[in-house]
Amino acid sequence: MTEAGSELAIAVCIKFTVDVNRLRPDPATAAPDLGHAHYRINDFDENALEEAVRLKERHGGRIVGVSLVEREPPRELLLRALAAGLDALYLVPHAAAASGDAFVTATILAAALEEIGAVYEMVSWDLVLCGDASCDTYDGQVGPRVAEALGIVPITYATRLDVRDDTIVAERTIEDYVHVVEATLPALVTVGSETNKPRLPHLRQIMDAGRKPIVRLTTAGLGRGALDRARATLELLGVTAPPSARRRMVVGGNGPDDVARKLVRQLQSDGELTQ
Amino acid sequence: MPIDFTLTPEQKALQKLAREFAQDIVQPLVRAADAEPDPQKGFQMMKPAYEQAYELGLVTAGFPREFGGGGLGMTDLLIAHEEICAVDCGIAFIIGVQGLGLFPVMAYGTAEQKKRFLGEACNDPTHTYQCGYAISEPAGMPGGTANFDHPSPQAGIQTTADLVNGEYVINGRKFWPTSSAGWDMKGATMNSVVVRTDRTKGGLEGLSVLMVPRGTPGVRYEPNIDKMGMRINQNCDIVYENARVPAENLVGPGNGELVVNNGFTFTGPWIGIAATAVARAAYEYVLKWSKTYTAGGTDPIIYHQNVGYMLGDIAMRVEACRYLSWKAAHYLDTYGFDGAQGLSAMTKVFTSETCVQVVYDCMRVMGCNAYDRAAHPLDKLMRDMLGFPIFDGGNMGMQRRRLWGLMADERFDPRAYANCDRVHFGKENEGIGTVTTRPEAVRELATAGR
Ligand SMILES: Cc1cc2nc3c(=O)[nH]c(=O)nc-3n(C[C@H](O)[C@H](O)[C@H](O)COP(=O)(O)OP(=O)(O)OC[C@H]3O[C@@H](n4cnc5c(N)ncnc54)[C@H](O)[C@@H]3O)c2cc1C
Repeated sequence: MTEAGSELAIAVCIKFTVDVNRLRPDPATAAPDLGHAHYRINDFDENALEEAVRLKERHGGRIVGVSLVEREPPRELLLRALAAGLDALYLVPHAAAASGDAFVTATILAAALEEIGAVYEMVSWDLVLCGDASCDTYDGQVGPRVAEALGIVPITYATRLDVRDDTIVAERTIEDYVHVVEATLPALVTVGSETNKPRLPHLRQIMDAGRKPIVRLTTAGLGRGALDRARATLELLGVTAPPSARRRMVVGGNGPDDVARKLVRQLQSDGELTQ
Repeated sequence: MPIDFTLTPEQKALQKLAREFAQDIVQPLVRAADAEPDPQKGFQMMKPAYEQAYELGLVTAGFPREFGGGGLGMTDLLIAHEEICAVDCGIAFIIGVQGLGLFPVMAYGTAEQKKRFLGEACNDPTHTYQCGYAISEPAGMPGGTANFDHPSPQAGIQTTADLVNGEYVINGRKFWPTSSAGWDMKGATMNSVVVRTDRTKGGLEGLSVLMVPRGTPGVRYEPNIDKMGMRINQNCDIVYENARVPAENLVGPGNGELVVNNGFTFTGPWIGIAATAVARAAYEYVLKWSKTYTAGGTDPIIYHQNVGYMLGDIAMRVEACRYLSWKAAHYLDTYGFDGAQGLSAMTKVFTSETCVQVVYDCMRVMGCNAYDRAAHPLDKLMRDMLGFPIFDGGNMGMQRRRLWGLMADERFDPRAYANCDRVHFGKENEGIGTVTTRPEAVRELATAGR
């Protein structure tokens, strides 16, 4: 634990996820065509990283990224995460990354965070930042579960945060109210798109990002107990896109009013519009 | 070892940065700035995007690291430039013209000049630094630009600079320079100006470049040129009346015309990829349109064979232009401006003329709706595109003359590019085709020889 008022040791959990906007279903199986998928940094994790950078700018410190990955993500994404302000990136390859089981993900991530803090960075984390959810599975569970596994305070859906001495102050916007919470560090905070607007990195940061360390941990190095605990609680039966066959229907009629009336009737009978 | 067109992870990350800058920061400003009737206002509307580009290091990307630049090579620059041009080539030229403006210093400057001028360019706390590049001159007798390397002192560049008591005194007029008048019409931070420093010598010996800072007395900026396209760019009309600059601002004495030709070598691939990007924007738009628009038929028009074939022809020309530009950029990175002249000229001419046809073909595929300027972008793309064959050294004069001068040389090896050899270009390749074959002049010469 860092001394009050001194520099912050921040870990940001980052998910390299499929870009769902560019994901197409396989026409034969309706399952997502992962073979042709494009990858991206989970958007809320970009908010988490940006928030970490802002805290570092104000208080000083060091930011490391930790990512549980099924396999090595495209290197340009790793460079982008480093360019955005990470001092180092730790990749933890594990098949569970694809399981979609937030309990397993959080258990391994927490074990990795402990290991990285104790063995590699030789700090105990002041702050762990996560995105509110990930844009592919959208469970929103990993952050709080990591906090639980680490035994630290979770603050979810924070829209503003700052650190004063050894206290974190976070605002959470809840409809018409702003909920202000304080906690003594260490804490885990989840943030989303309302928290900040991530800035674009400087061109030189991108070109030089490859010089920053990327460390690949094996889960074998993590505590045995952690992996034993990380037994799946969910079984993923399948992911399929809803059928959306094109109807190619031409609605005819006498003049625009008549066509509009017929179109509305058709949409209602198809169940696309309610009365 | 294969010929490698693979983008490195760094280049892909750079491409993404440029794409995000273009889409998030440039795109929202473009339509209104293009539609603005006052050319200076349209230019000023892009200032916030320029400042952001400066902040992100895009403006100074090509300058060496030791002065504070990004240290990118030409190939890297092209990857970023294509993405910005695909959204708007105008802002891309506002961002990029510093590279041309400071090219004389980069290529011909002394160590002291590099430190001073490049250092200033790369470290502006206001993020508004600009450097224009002024060669072109207005119509008149003589006038125009295409014969800048004419052997007669009475032809070609007519803006003069005389050395008086340690200062150059400039007189004359420049027409067209990009961004030279600055954000407030009081001058860009700096302008490099091609001038005749020896009134007795022709274009191969009498020209040099002067660095003219903002605030130099005797420089006047007339209202900007009102253009059909690239309306986001500021194109200036500058008058010099006994404007004085210190002698140490002189660059490339007696080599002004080589600076011009080598500057074009530098811009060849850069304009090539910009033309590719404008054509790409038209192609992508029309491809999408062809997959959704039915023209009153039952199926999207892409299922008509003529549309499918035409889109294929459009796509293949866009790809060909991109790879030619990359090749020229790679040549420039490998051999420098002196060795890449020929390929650069080929790239500028081929891509600009091909891509005009590509954008026009996109309009043909789309049909009448392409002409609707409120609903579709083809109008702006075509207006912008039409500038490419005639700016940055008109294809009909300067660009084809460069290539001609090189090919007419005894030493020219037509296999040089296949062998990936350096192809030297020097003063001996300049000046070709500047002396006309006007019948009376030919008869006078024949009589004189008798
Ligand atoms: C958007 C834009 C940006 C520009 N930016 C700049 C800038 O930053 N700095 C700058 O200095 N200028 C700039 N210019 C000006 C421009 O680059 C040059 O002035 C232009 O390329 C000169 O070429 P030209 O062929 O039109 O020249 P001109 O001298 O006007 O020649 C006109 C025509 O005459 C014929 N011709 C003349 N001489 C010959 C010959 N010897 N052989 C064969 N044919 C000949 C050709 O058909 C030629 O096209 C810009 C122009 C535009 C439109």
